[in-house]
Amino acid sequence: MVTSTPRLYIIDEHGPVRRALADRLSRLGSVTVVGDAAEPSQAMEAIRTDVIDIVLIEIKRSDGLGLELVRQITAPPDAPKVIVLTTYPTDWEEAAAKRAGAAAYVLKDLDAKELLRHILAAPG
Amino acid sequence: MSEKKPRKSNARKRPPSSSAAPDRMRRLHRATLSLYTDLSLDGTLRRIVQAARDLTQARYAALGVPDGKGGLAMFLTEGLSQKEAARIPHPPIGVGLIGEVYRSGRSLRLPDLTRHPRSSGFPEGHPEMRSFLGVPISAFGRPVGQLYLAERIGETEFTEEDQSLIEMLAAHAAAAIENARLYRQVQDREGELAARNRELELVNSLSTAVSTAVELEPLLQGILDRVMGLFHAQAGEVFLRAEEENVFVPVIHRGMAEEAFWAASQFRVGEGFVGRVAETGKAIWTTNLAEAGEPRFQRKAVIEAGFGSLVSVPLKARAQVVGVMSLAFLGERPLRVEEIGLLEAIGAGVGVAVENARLYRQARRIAVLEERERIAMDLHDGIIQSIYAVGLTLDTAKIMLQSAPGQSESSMREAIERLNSVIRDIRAYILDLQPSRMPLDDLAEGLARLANEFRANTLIEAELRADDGLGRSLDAVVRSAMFHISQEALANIAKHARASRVWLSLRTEDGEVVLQVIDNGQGFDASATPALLGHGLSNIVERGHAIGANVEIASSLGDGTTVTVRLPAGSRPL
Repeated sequence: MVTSTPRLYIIDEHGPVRRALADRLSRLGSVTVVGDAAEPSQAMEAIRTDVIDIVLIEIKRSDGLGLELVRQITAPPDAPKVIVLTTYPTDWEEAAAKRAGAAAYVLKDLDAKELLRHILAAPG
Repeated sequence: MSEKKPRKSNARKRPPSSSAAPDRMRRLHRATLSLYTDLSLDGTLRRIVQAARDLTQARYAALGVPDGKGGLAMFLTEGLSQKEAARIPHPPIGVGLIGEVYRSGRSLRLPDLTRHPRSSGFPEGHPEMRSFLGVPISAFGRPVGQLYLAERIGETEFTEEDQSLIEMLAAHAAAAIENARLYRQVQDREGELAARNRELELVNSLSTAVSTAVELEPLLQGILDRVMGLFHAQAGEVFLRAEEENVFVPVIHRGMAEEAFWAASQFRVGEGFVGRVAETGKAIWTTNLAEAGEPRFQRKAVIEAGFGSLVSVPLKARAQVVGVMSLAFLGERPLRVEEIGLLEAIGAGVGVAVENARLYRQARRIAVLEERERIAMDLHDGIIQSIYAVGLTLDTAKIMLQSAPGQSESSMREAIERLNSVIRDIRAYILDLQPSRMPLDDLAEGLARLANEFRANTLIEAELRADDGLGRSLDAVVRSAMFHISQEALANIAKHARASRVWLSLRTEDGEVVLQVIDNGQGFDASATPALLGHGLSNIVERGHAIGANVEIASSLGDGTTVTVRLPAGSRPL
């Protein structure tokens, strides 16, 4: 049987968040979490070499590279869909993320099903 | 030795005609030298009259200084006894022969002055005089005075030789009078310059003061009051450029008719006096306010209050007009070019003060924004992320409750542990946010206090070693920076390190002041994650560099972290 669930990759500096997100989303069954990373280089390498449909990324980073990562991931023609996740929203950040190529700008709330709905419904 | 020689030459009898002239020339020479001994005008004039009387053997000598309007500004006499002088009802008024010498510019020598057609006679009580010699003193063709001699002793009239001697004296006198005049001018000028320097110094010190002072208004008031005092202005005002706009709004008025001045709320660039100064960057002044400028920008109430003269100068900073200062005077008050120059110089100083105050406000605003951003980012970094992870874990545990109760339980245990660590994070964070109560004079005391607070809040052991007296000997800027570095390092340890012990030390080593904060926590791989040096660590590095210190952050996974700040001897804070 061919799996048709989208393949998802998580980028977040916070280790426990990455692991808990992967665990929780995997259990919902509608996506396959294929990997996660804190570091830009590791994430970009995985996205380039692996087949990835959706990237879930925390935009607020201590290195300030959140928006740049979104831009680089969405740059190629067959780029994965990027869902920006964040702990707290700001208007300028949402606008900047959309400009950089993000398909959605979603708050980190505890309702995992809602998050999944956003992930699947986002254009791209 | 020469005195012991026989005085043959003196004993020898010489014809009077051949000996008199060289002797008188020597006396003239001595007299002219004495003219330059002191530079006061009065003293110089007095010596000229005395020399003239001595040289000609006149009973009476006088010197008149013209006032430029046909009369005499000064009249000095020699040879009159007090009684004689007291009997003369008034000094000469410049008519008669005195006027004649002045008008003709030529010497006048008479055997009997009363017979001269121009003689106007003596006032009652004036001593009788017959022989007369009048010689003009002129410098660069301009009469600066006249010498009058009367009553030649031993002759019926003044001789030609007398006349030429006095004419020579007059030439020197002219130079001496000019010298004395110039000297007086220089002195006046110096006094003026000194006064001006004092004012400029004042402005300079005021604008320096403003870099630390924040309140602009009292400063402007102080300056305006002083400038008004200096110029005896009845009113003064300051307009400042509204931020981001080409509009100048009044901020200060001092002196009379406040209501009248406030009647105009603002001027755009190019409008009225204020607007024109703003446009051109140059001072503008008038002594006829009612007729000056475009009528629609005139402040009628000000004119009605009796103000006739106004001077407006730009307050400039970095070639920009940031404001306009005006002085207003009742009626007509002419302004000299130097006065305008002084006002413009003051304006430049005040402009810098205004700009400094503005930059200070801006910096403060940015600091508040940055602080807000930092707090938000810190909450994101540690607290919200942690709680989010705990929430997801609990959510997962709930799902597994039926299917895998064992796994579910361990997830919940993990969640509780993480929540505990979140609580610790928040405590540490509050510690970090507390306003730093840095003891003013002793860094060691400050570090001890930090260590105590850290221990109480985190339950992590903290130990401090500090060289005796070192904490007091450091520069205030260094003390403050090192205090904040320690505070930041401890906050980082509380948030991230999972340490059980912390060591703080402050010591001198090879002439360097060394501050160290060491923990035995989990550390991080500094080489692999340079970008991950969070806010805390980059703040530490920046603060260290700001005082000219080297900052070293050494860490490896599982081996704790050491923050070392080394301040080289003799390095000054930037």
